[in-house]
Amino acid sequence: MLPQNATEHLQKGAYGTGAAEAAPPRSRKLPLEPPLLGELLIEAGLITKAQLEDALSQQSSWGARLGDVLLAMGWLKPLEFYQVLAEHFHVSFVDLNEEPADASLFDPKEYADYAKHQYLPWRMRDGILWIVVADPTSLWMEERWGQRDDVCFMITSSLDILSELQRVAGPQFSEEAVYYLAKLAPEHSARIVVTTSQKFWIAVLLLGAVGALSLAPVITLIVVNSVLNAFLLFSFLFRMALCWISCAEEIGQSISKEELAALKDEDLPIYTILVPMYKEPSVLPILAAALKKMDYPKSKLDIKLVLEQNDHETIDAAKALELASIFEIVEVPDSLPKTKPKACNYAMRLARGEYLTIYDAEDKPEPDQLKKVMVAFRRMGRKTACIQAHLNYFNAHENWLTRMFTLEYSLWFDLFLPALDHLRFPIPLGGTSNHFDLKKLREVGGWDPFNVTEDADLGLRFAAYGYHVGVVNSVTFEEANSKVGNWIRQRSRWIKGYIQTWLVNMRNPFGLLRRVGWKGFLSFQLFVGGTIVSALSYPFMVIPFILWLTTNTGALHSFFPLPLLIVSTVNLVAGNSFLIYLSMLAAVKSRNTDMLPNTDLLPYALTVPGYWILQSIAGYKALWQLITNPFYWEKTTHGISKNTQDELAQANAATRS
Amino acid sequence: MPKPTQRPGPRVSFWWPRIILVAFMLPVVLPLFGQDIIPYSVDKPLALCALALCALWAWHMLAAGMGGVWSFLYAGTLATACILSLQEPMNQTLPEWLHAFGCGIFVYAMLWAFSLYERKGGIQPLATAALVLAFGMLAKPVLLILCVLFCAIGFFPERRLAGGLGKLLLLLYTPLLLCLFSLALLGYLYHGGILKSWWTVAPPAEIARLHISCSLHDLWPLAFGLVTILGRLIAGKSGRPDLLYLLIVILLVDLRFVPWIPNQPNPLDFSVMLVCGAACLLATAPPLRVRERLILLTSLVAALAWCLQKYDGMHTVNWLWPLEP
Repeated sequence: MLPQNATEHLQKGAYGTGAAEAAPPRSRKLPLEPPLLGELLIEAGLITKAQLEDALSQQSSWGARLGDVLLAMGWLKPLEFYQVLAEHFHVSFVDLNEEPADASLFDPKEYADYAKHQYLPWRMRDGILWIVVADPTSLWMEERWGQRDDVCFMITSSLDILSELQRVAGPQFSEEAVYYLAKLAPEHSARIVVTTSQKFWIAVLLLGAVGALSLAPVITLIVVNSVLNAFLLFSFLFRMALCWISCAEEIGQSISKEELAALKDEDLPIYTILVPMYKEPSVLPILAAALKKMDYPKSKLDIKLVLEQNDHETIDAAKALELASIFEIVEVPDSLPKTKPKACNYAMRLARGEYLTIYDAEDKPEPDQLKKVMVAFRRMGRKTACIQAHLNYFNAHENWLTRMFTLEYSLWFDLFLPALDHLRFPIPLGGTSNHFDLKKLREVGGWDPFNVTEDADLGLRFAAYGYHVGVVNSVTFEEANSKVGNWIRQRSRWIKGYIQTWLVNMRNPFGLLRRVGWKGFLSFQLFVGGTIVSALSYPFMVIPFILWLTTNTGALHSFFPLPLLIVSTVNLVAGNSFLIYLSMLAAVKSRNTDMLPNTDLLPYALTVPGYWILQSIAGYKALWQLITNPFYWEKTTHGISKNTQDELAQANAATRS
Repeated sequence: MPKPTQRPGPRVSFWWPRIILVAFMLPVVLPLFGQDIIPYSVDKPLALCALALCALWAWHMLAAGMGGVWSFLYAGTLATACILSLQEPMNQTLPEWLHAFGCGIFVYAMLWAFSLYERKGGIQPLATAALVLAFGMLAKPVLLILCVLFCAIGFFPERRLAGGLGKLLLLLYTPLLLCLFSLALLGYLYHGGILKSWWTVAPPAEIARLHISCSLHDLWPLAFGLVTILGRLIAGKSGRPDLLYLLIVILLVDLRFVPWIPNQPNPLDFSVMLVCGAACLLATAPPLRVRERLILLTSLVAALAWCLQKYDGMHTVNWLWPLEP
């Protein structure tokens, strides 16, 4: 509803300067029976009568405004619509591209409100503050501004508000996207990779090790080996226990069809979807097609394609797709570090939704995912900050690598994470399809732009703040890396991020223990620490073993007394055996794109030890990069799969239709 | 709708069954008073081992919803029987005891997996059975082979879940096969020959040594098993695990007559298997009503008390070995 005094103010005829000032004054009084918006749009030839009827029926079920429905369906261009809207309300329309807002009127404390409620202070003339607004019926606007006599309103396009806000507040958003967490909670930021006290302890440990090696090399190696073996043994057992728990059918937030059916569209909140992309123009249609299929009121979707300002090819490709107005392009200013979390932090400041999720460019979420998440949030209570959906791959059968990657992802998302959720242990989030309560996400400071696995870090930070992360039974299908080089680049980034996360959380081990409890602490060590240690120690376990096997050499016998030798061998053999078996279980638990079990991958689980060699290579690359270039974001190239071309053809057909 | 003011279900007095129970338990427990809790003639490490296993059993029953006092009473009964039984010198070596415990724990875990399958279905019981089979290396080969077959039959309906019979078998036997491979590898590396010793056919003299006659004293595991099975049958709780239990016992006895089967179970293995199997059946689906619990416990105590009379050397029977192999 238009603020009560707005018409009064409009009738004063003080429209500011420029085009608005030059425009002939509107009728000074509202007509007794103003024409309906739909009729105006038909009169203007912008929509057909059939479209209007469709939109009206959607409007009642979605509980949305007619204009939002029409825009969401892509039947109208925003500029044309808002001009008619202004006419409908007898308010002037302002084109912010021609008449930009006065930046000095912007209040940095209200930037979030500007984005959420789609308004901006535009000009100040003769003591009157002119506000441009995209939704003249907003109750919030009436409460916020309705009581003031020195305020007048005009209408503009929501996209123009977004781009104007970026023009004015962009540098501040960009600065905050990089440094906000480091200032808010430096103890949680990976801006400093290794703190001074950590350097001290590492130096003490290294010096101690060198000293011990020079004095008693055999005993030192035995001690190191024993500790390592014990840690790995517990890590394997922990993972086994997680899998066993997850194999029970009732684990995780399983949302039934009845629960989904009970949801009313009109009660659903606005949902922001961030799609950070960099130089990935080719896969854009896949994502657009997948998002269009989402079973969620489209007028309540706030989809932001988060692109780097200098990534012209993707920006041009996005514009060329002529997507409906629910898709907004956010251009992130060029700054360092050039990471996905920084881009997400920037876009988060422009989000309108109560909830927010992230999808990668090539993602294909299940259509009912957002609704399932809404049910899960309501079911899990107020301490839940995030819900993670399962991830899987649509090109699992392309080659050996994609098969192994699929098995690994299934192990992670279908077995490990649901069990962690069940046990209420901290969950390192996956890269995409994590759905946040936006208020809580802002409270913990958003993503860490210096951490290259910002998602895993964020999951653990939520635990540190006392929030819970859940896992929901909905799958997002992604493109598995089908080339070894690309895979190693991606995996090295993940392991580097895990090391960063471990280092950040272990700055104050007792603090972590206090925050997450001893169970959470142990889980963190065995799950996150175990991933790092197993990747790095694998060669040291395999190489001596192969040496023995092939040469039967006795050279290493002095370093490995018999009991240790047996424990090491059992660890290596049993560890690999368990990994093989757990991967087999993952194949049964996971679902392919037809929602059938991926059981044809089951025999491939026998080759898991080979996959672990690649994991170790990536681990050492990660360690090297952590020392030489800690914040460098190893970009994963998407769209290289053979399946992607088929997906693209389907998506293009869907877009055209 | 008004809130219910009391719990639904029959109103029972919780005192009188306990008094009767205590009255039944006293003749069994009293002999232990006034002396060391573990009689001097009992091998202490073995007794402690038995007590620890009974404590685990009590915990399992408690987790299954048996209730603290009842779990303690059942476990106490079993522990008493074990300790009294251990007074009898058995002339078994440590490896033989380890094998016996291995057999017992294996049977317990296998029956647990089957009861889990009967209760829930799905992949968890299947994975449990597969892992239990891998630990079957601790048991006697013939018992393992029987369970391998029973698993294939029992989990046959899950072939759809696994995507075909071949994949089901892969899912069921991979841990066991990997375990065998690992043991073979360890044997090769350390010249240990673990697999070989596990698979060795006992020489006739060895069989003769192990082939001990049993006394009434040794009959209590059989009584324990029978009472448990009957109790479950009467309570309408019998299912696949009971069938598996009976089949294992009967087939193992029958297979005694196949001469080429290596490392056959001896009476001690049988006793431990019988006790562990019955204990598992009790723990996985404990009697829920006080009356049922009381009747079963009373029967158990009575059967055990009868069998555990002091051995006087007169009641020797060949209860499992009626014929020479």
